[in-house]
Amino acid sequence: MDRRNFMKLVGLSGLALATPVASDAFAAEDNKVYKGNFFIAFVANGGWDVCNLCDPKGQSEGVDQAFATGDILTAGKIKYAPIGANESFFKKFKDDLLVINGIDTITNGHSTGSRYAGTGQLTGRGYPTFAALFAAKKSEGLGLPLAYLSYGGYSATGNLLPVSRLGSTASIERLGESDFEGGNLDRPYLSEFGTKALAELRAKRRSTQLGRQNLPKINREMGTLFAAQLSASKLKKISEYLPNDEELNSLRGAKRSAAVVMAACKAGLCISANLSVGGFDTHGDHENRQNDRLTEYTETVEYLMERAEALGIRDRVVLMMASEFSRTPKYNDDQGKDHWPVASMMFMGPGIKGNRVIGATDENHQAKGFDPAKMKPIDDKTLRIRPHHIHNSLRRLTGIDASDEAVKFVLQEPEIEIDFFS
Amino acid sequence: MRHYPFFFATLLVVLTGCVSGSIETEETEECVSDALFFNRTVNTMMDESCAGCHAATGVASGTGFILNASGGYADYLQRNRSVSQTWAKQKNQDFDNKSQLLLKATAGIEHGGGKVLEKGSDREKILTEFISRVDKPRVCKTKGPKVPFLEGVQFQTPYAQLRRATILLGGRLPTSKEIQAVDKDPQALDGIYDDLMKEDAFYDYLERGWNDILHTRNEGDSGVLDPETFPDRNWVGDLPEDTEEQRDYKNLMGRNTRLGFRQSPVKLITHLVKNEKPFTEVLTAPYVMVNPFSAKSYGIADQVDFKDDNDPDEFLPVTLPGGGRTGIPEEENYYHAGLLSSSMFWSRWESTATNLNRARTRVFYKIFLDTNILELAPRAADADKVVEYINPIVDFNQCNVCHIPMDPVAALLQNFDNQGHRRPFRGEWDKSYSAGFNGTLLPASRAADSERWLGEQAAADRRFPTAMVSNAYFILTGRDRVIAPTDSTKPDFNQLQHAFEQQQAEINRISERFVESDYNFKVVIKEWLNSPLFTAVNIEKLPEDDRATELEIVGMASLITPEDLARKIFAVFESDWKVSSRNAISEDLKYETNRGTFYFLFDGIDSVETTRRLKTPNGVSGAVMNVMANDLACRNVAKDFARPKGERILFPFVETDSFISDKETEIRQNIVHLYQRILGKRYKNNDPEIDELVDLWGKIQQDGLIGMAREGEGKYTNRLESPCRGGDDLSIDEFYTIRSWNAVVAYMLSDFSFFYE
Repeated sequence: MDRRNFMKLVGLSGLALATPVASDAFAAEDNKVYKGNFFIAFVANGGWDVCNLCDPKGQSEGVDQAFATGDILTAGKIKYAPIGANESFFKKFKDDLLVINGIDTITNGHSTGSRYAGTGQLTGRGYPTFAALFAAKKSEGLGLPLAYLSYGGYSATGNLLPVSRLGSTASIERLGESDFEGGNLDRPYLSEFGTKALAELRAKRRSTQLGRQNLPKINREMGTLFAAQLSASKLKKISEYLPNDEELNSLRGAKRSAAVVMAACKAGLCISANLSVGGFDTHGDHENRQNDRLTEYTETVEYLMERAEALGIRDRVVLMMASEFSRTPKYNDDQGKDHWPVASMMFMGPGIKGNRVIGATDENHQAKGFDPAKMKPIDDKTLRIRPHHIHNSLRRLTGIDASDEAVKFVLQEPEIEIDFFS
Repeated sequence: MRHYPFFFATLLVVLTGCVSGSIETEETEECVSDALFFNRTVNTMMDESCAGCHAATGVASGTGFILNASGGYADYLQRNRSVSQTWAKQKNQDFDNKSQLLLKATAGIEHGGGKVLEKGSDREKILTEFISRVDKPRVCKTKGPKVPFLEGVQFQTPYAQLRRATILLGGRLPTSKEIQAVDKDPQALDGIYDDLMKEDAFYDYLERGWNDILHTRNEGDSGVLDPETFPDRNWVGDLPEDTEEQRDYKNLMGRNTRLGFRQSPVKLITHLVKNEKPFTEVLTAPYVMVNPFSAKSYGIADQVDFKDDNDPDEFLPVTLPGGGRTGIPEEENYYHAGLLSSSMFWSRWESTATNLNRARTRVFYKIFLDTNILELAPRAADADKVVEYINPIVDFNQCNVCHIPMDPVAALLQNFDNQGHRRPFRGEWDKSYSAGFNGTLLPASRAADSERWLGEQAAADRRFPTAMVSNAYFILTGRDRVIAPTDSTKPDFNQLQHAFEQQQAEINRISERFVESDYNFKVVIKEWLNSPLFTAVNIEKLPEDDRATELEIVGMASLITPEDLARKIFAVFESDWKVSSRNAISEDLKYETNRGTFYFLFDGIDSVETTRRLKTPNGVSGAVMNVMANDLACRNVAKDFARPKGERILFPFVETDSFISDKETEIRQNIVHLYQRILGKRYKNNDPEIDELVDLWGKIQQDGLIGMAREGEGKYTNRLESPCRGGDDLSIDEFYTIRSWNAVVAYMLSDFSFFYE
């Protein structure tokens, strides 16, 4: 078969060439274990109101808020709104937390905003999210069945690797032991010899089929399918790191997803994940509905980090907290808030210096300009913080900025390099 | 600075190789058509030089010269070309009759953006050439394209086309008669497609496919009806429940009634397609689909002539006479407009007090007009400027670019409340935009049936047929049509643009056939089944990167849905895949509790929380495949051997006491048979693929026989595990043939072609 094509496909499949073609080109080496960091993108779907979170203003002529300016709270150097579960969240994470305010997303469209926040590319249809890019690069040669798990939010992959969902963990052990009836190790479908002979012949056919298939789309799907089939046996490891049944069954929504994601990371099956909480598009009854959502969001972050701590991987989790944009400063006629392009993001994790706020908005929640040399907000709005600035910095932080994948999906207008994280 | 190699490589020959005229044809070796020249070169140049200001959200949006980006309107290139031609035709007599477009761009006359094209620059030459072509359209001599797009591409054999069609559309294997007919004459496929689309299984497929677009059949019940208009809506609630029998009956009635509502939208699709009615009725049908149980909720059960009043799957069209009441005011009558008047549809896509039907409008545009409202303004929302406007959604171009097409349509849906109840409009709508569509205001006389007026307008819109063709493509492939690239500085821009144009040309071609057939949706399905984009299976040589990029639209490469996988399993084995007496994956999704153990793990959706299928395998679906291959082999091999030889579907040529030494011919013959039945591959007995499996079969048998002789009751035993037995009659595998065949069948069931049709 054509070697160039084969290598390319193996790369696309997120697997490295670990064994000779004749045995199985799509099987990764079992003894390779991922020891790097994990990336979690936690998305507030619909557009969160950062004035109710990390960029509080208080009630004023230009901004409607449910609290007065004097009620704004502070944790370390971070100001936050005195509502919902914010106090617990900011107190707990202030030392780790980097807040970036005054991000100009220049869009009020949900899909554009989601894409820009997730990929760093405003018009980048087909661009992978940072989570996908990171997982694709870091999972090379590892054959991970859940390298990029997604529980909502923008999850394009740029064909770099497959995105996975794992809604139920009930059958996971059985699925991981597919050579045994019902997952029972005492009941093999075939003898050990038969299982091995079958696997070898399958490997040979896979290589033959791939070598004969020259249409790019079909060829890529073939490679992805083979990688998926071969990585599946590792799935069973996840069950070792899930919370006990009672706790797991009591979890709902994003918290349950967070438990699965952390277990998958600990088990070495997952590198990146999307988590999401929806319902932030509060065009009506803003304060009640938005704050309810924010409470679920911040409580989920707390739970996620608790699980990471319990599993001993907290120091490996890079967490990005973002939404497609924010909400208007003023209420509309229905006590709702509409779309507003000036947003915030929050980060924490290894390599990220916490207890900091970068960027700012004015009293009417307009984005201020930014001086990258001094890392300070300024009145001159020539340069405003945009999502692609942050994503470029994120790529550098995680060491994938020079990778083939990152170069292929270069971000627009990198007019200046800004280091937000260290 | 971008270069335009396509332009300069061809400009010379274009200028010398074309003649003036008015008919456009396909580009030839010497000539590039006007359309292609605009799409590939002019539009790219304008996107870079002009669209920054002349976009709907740009500072020059008030000039009327508006350039659209891809992603919003599917026909954005036609729109851009049309407005550019209009401006190119405007001549300025004070400047030697030159085009206003050129004068503006070169600042020969006043231009808000100043000089954007330098005299003598590449871009100026492109614009000059474009204006020249507008003045004198070119005819290209038809010698065929220089490099045919599909050069070197290999296509399915007629047999493979037949098998894919029967598996996908009919959920069954092709019959011997069909195979013979197609082998004899490939043209026979046409009639077979027609027959397939008369089978009930096709409508199950169609309904599943449309539900992936509409997402209506997993939520909702009679509560979607307005209680004032339909006082009987909750007739089930009034049933007694004193005894267990009464409670069971009540539960059954509730279930059947829910089914009547949830299935109603997709049953409208089935009704239109099965009866070959104009598919425009999806927006205009003067009736709603009901079953005997939902008919009671509507209060019209005695007016509908069902064949079987107890059959929840029987749906008939019914025109509601004033919502079942008499003597009601005209403006409160119940008007029908296909799905646009369906409370079930609008309850699935509900609104809020402040969203004001805008989300519904997004759905309307996406499904019926192939227009993505959310992509109309991918750039620029300037928060500093928004505050300068009292009513930005009307007055600020960065906002009204979406609100102009969106809000008037939202106002047309005002007869439905947020939960989908039809409550005739009583005049309280007081928003920024008047109801209308495409710039035409709703006539005052149509306020009471504004959704019906919208349906009439949209059905006549030129985007409707292409939207339906795109929907059919989505149903068949699970993929959206491709979107044109936006970044012309990217090295693969021309290839992506070419791919977009090729697919769009195919969509347009099929759309024309659709319109010619009076909107017969079956025609769309047939055209796609025969489309080279659909039947391509390989290409002679590994393409270089540029070519590979544009070939992305060629060939089917979508993971099969779990529903189609379940149908395929049944077709091959004539039984479902059961795990612990439950279906592992179910195709029958009418009832939301019946999806099966592995449904969601194999790319299933619930149409509520999960609405998009991944369509690409991952570690989870890969695990299901692995289990499936082994488990199905185990459950079906012995079962088939237990049947009388004449009734076997898997093993008609062999017995359980075969040895390679004396039965190799029969074993080969049976492997050939299995390949065709399970994977649709037609190998000769001496094909190397057959050799491989004969070898595998023999090795496993030999190992098993030696093991059994050595160990007796150890790892190697002659007893089959319970799910792998062929009932009580076949629980012993004395010659280790059952397990050898298990391996062969499991091998085939893990093949790429079992999961990709």
